[in-house]
Amino acid sequence: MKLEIDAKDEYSYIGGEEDVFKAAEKSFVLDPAGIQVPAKYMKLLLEGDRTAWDFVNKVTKSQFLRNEMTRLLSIAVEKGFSVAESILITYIENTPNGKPKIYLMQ
Amino acid sequence: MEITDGDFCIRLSLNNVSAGLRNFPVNVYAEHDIVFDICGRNFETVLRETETFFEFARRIRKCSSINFLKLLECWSKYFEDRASAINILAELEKEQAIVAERDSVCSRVTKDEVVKVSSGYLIYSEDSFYLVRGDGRVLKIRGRNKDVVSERLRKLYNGTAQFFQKTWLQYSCFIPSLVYPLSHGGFGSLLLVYQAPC
Repeated sequence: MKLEIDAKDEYSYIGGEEDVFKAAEKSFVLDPAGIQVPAKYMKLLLEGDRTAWDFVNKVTKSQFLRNEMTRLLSIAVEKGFSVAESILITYIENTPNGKPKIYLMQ
Repeated sequence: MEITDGDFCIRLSLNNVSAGLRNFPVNVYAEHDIVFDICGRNFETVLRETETFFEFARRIRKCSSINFLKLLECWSKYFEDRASAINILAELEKEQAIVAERDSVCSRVTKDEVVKVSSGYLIYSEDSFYLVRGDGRVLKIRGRNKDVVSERLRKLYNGTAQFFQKTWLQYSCFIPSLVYPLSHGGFGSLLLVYQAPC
């Protein structure tokens, strides 16, 4: 059976050959990382987009806040993977790695 | 500004952040656990001795059961007289350890309902704690508030309560019929004591 996912507005729609279900709110929770994945990003994952899979793997292996991970995934679908990737590299470079460091608050 | 090692995070509430400080990266690594107000001059000390300050703040944070004013006093001493602040902190940590032990004893007796100690058995029943001695006397542990009762319970549990201190043990009743099983121990016998109306 062929399934399709469509992300519109705040909802996601999963469609089969005959029926369409309004599936969830705008994001999915990705286990075991426990981060929320925006529906548009989930669509890329379900379509087997290699770049999307590689990027989400890099993000979930990093050590920063889950809401920031979700934000990076949103940036990836809205502004492109290169923009999101450059932010990710900066985050990784500035990771405290167990040693106290000074930061600006968000 | 925030300081984090990725696990523990301190937020420093500064009156005004100078332009130079805006070059620090943004914290996306940890949510803050504690907030301190700090002036610009003291922040310079933090910049110079980040790790020392961070460790001090982490130790303060662990004293979560200690009165806030005492913590505040310790905190404000840090920038005036470091050695004195560290001595105060060591005392607060001792106090914290006692409170933690007290909570642990209290929850153990509450959960198990009957716990053997050197002076008899500690019993929890209907929101009160009792010491049941081997001679059949049942003594209620008194105190002006819950913390005081918990502290007395801790002392009885550890066997550190002095004889003269035991005036806070109020005689409740005597259960002669249970002296024998009590003195010979056994959880089943103790359950009889626990269920006996006092």
